[in-house]
Amino acid sequence: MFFLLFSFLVSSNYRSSRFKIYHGLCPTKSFPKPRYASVRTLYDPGPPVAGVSQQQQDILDSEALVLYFPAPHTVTGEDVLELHVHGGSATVKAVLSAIPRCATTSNGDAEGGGGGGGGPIRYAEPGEFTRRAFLNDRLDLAQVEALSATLAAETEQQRRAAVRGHSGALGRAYEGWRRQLLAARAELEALIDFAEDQHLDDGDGGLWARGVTAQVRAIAARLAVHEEAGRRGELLRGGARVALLGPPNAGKSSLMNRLVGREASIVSRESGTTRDVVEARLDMRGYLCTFADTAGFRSAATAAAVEGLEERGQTEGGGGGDAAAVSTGEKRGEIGAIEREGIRRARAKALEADVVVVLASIEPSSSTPGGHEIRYDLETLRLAASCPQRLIVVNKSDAVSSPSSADSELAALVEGFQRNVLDQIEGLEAATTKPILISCKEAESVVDAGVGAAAQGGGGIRGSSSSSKDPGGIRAVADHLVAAFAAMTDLPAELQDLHGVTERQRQLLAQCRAQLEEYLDMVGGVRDFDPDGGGGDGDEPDITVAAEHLRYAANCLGRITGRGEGGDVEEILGVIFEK
Amino acid sequence: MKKAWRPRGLSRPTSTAVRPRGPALKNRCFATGSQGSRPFDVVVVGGGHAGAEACAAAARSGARTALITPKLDNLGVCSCNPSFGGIGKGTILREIDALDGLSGRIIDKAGVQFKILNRRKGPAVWGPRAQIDRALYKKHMREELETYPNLSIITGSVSDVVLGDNSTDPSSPAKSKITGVRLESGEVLPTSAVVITTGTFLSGEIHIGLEVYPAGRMGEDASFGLSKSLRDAGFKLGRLKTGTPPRLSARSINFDVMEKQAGDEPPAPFSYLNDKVAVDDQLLCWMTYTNHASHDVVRDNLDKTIHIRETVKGPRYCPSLEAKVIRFAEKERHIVWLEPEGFDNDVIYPNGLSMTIPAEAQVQLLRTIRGLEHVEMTQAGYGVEYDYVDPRSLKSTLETKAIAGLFLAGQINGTTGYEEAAGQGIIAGINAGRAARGLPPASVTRADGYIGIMIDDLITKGVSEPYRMFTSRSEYRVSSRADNADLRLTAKGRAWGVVSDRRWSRFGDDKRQMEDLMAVLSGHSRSAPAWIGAGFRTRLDSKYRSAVEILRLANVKIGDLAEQVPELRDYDERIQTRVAIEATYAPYVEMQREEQALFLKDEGLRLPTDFDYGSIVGLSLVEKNILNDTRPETMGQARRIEGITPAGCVRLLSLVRRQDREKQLDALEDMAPLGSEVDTLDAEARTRDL
Repeated sequence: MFFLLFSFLVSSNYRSSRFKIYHGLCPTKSFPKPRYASVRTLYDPGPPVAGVSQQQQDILDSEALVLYFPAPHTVTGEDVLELHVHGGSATVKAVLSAIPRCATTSNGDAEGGGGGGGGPIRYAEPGEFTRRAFLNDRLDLAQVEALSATLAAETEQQRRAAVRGHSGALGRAYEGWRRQLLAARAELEALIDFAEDQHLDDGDGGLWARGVTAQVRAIAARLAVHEEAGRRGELLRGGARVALLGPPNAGKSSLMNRLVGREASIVSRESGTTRDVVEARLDMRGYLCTFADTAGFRSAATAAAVEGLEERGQTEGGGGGDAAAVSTGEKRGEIGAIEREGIRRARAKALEADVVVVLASIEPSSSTPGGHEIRYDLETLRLAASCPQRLIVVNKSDAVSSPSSADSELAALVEGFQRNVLDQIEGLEAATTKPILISCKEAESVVDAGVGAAAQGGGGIRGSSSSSKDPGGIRAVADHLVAAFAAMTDLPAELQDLHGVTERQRQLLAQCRAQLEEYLDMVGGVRDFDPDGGGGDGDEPDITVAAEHLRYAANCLGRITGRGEGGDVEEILGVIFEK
Repeated sequence: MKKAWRPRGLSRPTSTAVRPRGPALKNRCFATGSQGSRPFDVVVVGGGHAGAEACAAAARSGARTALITPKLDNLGVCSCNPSFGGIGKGTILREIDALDGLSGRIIDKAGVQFKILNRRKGPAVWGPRAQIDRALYKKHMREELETYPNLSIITGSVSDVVLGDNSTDPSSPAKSKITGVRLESGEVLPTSAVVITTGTFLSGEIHIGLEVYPAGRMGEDASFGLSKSLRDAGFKLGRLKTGTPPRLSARSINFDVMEKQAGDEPPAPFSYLNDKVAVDDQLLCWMTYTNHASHDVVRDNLDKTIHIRETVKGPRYCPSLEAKVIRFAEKERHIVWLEPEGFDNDVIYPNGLSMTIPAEAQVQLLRTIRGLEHVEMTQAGYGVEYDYVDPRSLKSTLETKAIAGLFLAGQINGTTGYEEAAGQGIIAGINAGRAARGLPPASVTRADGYIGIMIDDLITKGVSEPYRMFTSRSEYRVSSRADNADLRLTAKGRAWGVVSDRRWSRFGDDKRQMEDLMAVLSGHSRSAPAWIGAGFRTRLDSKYRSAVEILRLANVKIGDLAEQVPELRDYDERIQTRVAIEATYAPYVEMQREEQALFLKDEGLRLPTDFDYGSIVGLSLVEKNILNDTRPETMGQARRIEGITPAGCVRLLSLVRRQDREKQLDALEDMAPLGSEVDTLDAEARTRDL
């Protein structure tokens, strides 16, 4: 386990911003004592106006180290809030993306900004910390000189990476859009500065602006594609998050260990061993992913739902073969506080996961002696249904051991599970989801025995391939996971370059798109933009504010490529006078 | 010593001889230039728009000021269009007025038609504009200057500036300093600060067709001595050109076939001091168009105009008709506005027809235009080409970096337009006055308004064509508006000592009223159903909204709130309108305020202007050259210069740091207060204010 220190910067109003960040992430705990390390749970600040109570908020990091250094004796000479979080890049990413949202959550009462103070929280610009340190007398000359080389390199690389580094196409795209936005702005600027003063021919002003709107809409759409690609690229770089869910003792930890190939969590036959979330990272055929093994689900709701299903199962109770008997195994055991917390965390993991793997298991039937049933947890299935990528895995195929009828009995169990349970849940219908049958025990015994090709009798539906090559069907699970990763991260060949979109770029792209959308809201929402047309005034959007949104949008792109800042005025005038 | 070419045409040869500055002469000037005996603290050369504002501002600041002009009749001359203001430019005029300048008040007296441009595009870009009566403008300006306290007007021509050695002054990196000006009569007027505002007169020459003769304006001599001495002093001079259209006789025009344009009713005054303007019955303007036949005349005569054939840069935005015909060959017509030059004046100014083809061709062209079929041309259009000084040699106070006490303002710095000239004039005047009295400099930043934007653009980027103000040049357009120039600048002006008691008390009244009304509106908070019930289209939710927030809704005018907020009636319409604009833009102003605070921090970091950048390890050769040429005053300026990389900026930071430490050591030794520290404090104080 390692810690990571990172620093964020807020735009100007330091004092209020650092409080905002802190209270956004740690809503209940008091502000840490200056210069003392405090352990805090970091919560997701949630969407701007959430009616969600604190308990329902996602945990970003359960044990982060928070340090507060008041000005002036700090690295920059200004207030510094340091967050040391666990080193998984998923955690870092989650915290990084949560911080900007802290600015909006705390002042939900003020409409239309204005009174908020503080302002947007953003990434530091290259060299900004050094500059601030300098301004505040915190760095001496030697240090700055030592730093400047590094700084320059960083700036240069950022620029190069964006402009023509490993992904030239990206830089070209950003620069292309920036130019398009400049051109779009130039048309608005021409309307503002010249339409009346320089007596540009009248009449086509409205048309111009409509052209601008179409252009802006097109750029916003392409930005969205890049943002999405950024997410995909980030998944590739940072790894997809996989959450393993299921009732206690279904074999989640075993499956994870089989997959991971190392002991990442304590495996035990006793249910509920994994109270907390245990994570392991692995490289799965080139895809980086983080496995989160969670506590077993045993919610009261599930228990009730299971009751209902049980009854239905019993009344329907046909032949032994398709006995879709289900139960929770341990009925209505008291759920303790610790277990409840474990389940809550598991739920949180499931909600932020990119892939949800739900485990069910084959257990001796509680109603039909000698028969079997599939034990599952309804909530885990529902969680899976809400995740775009999910896998339903049925463990303990080894439980059905009668040599002659094993395959047909397993087939019947799975079919019943599909029909009676999965088909009833929207998103898990037969057309979309096929349960995979595995046996962690078989896989383990093969490994334990050191036997390469399993001696166990082949089962046709155990996994997707023959069990002699895939003991216990674990590889089939891996195949499916890899297919899911591929589906999440692959981009069409013409968009391959977009894998280079970094999280910093993605945030800037998102800001840029937000500005463009505000522009579109203003201009498109009202009515045709017709500054030179007749009719009473008042109904039109303020073209100045509209242009302002375009300027901020272009600045966001400029910050990615290192272009812009000041120089663009001449470019805009250039565009105007070309016409 | 004279320029190689000889004047042709009308003009009289001018006295351009520059006397050699011998050591003896220098010493004599030095001696007579001492504080006690000199008659004037500040001398302003030139009585155009820059000069008028400069001398008045210097005088207001408490300096004994002299304005030197060839003839009294030249004061307040509008050599081109008979109008002031417009988009961006109108805001500059409001800023000048906020600093208690003259232009706004004179326009309110001399205006014949007032109109706010961009009325439908949001108050942030409203452009107040006025047609003026030339004769009235001159008359009122002259009266104003002749009675201005602390100001003397001297008729004469300045041939040269007199310099003294400045190397003994540790606080200034300039090697030499102003000790006086030499008049063409040979007489030397001792002074410590000179503002040169000679417009297009520096080596000016007029072009009509293939004719070229030296002149600054039709019928007036150019000045060559100053050009020469500025060049000798090491300033880089360049050539720019501009032009003016022919003038027409109103009697010969058929206005019936043209579209009329009337002024706003009621007209909005330019000056914050005025509730109304002088004119009652505003005059009309008319609109007509050029056509194919007009464009053919241009094409037939393109080879007969030296102005067009030359490579000197003209303005892209106020282009000559020739330029429009060449560049927009496909356009079938160009708009022409016919503007009156005054109440009892037969002259019409055809805005949009600036041209330099031979005079006969101009008449031929004019008569192709609808309504001008029988027009009489009273004066031909002509082009002017003139010297300008590379403005990168200036500080933000408009003092030159090389010569202490020498200030340049107006077209000489590469700008075009009355407003741009006047805006520089007032800043140069304030600073010349303060410098002469030993007070710290006063500069306006980009965050302060358009004048700050203009000066910063000039001194960091230089010019490649005549510089004109546009609103798009400002990154703070939403906060720097025509309506709030007083809120941005009047208190600063007061602190600099250039805002009179009368204006200060008027400003205080307005500000108090606006704050009161804003408080009243903020206090009127109602639930969404209550607002909706009163007819306002707000979202139905559980929020309480103040009347200020309601004002931000589309379509809501402040008057609509009269029923809900009865106190509104206690405030006059002017205050109501201003508060409504403030309310509309408040969230955006807030956003810009944060940008401004960041910007001001960089501005607070001073760079020495006498540093040899070649000696800094780690700067690229290109950066060294740029920095040695431009010599930025602050980190902020350095960052804005094209070609300076972030890495270069880090190097510069270490330079600042080293300098500061050395200065601190020096300060400890001799306890001398440092100008740069005062500035830094000033910038920091402003940051705090924000």
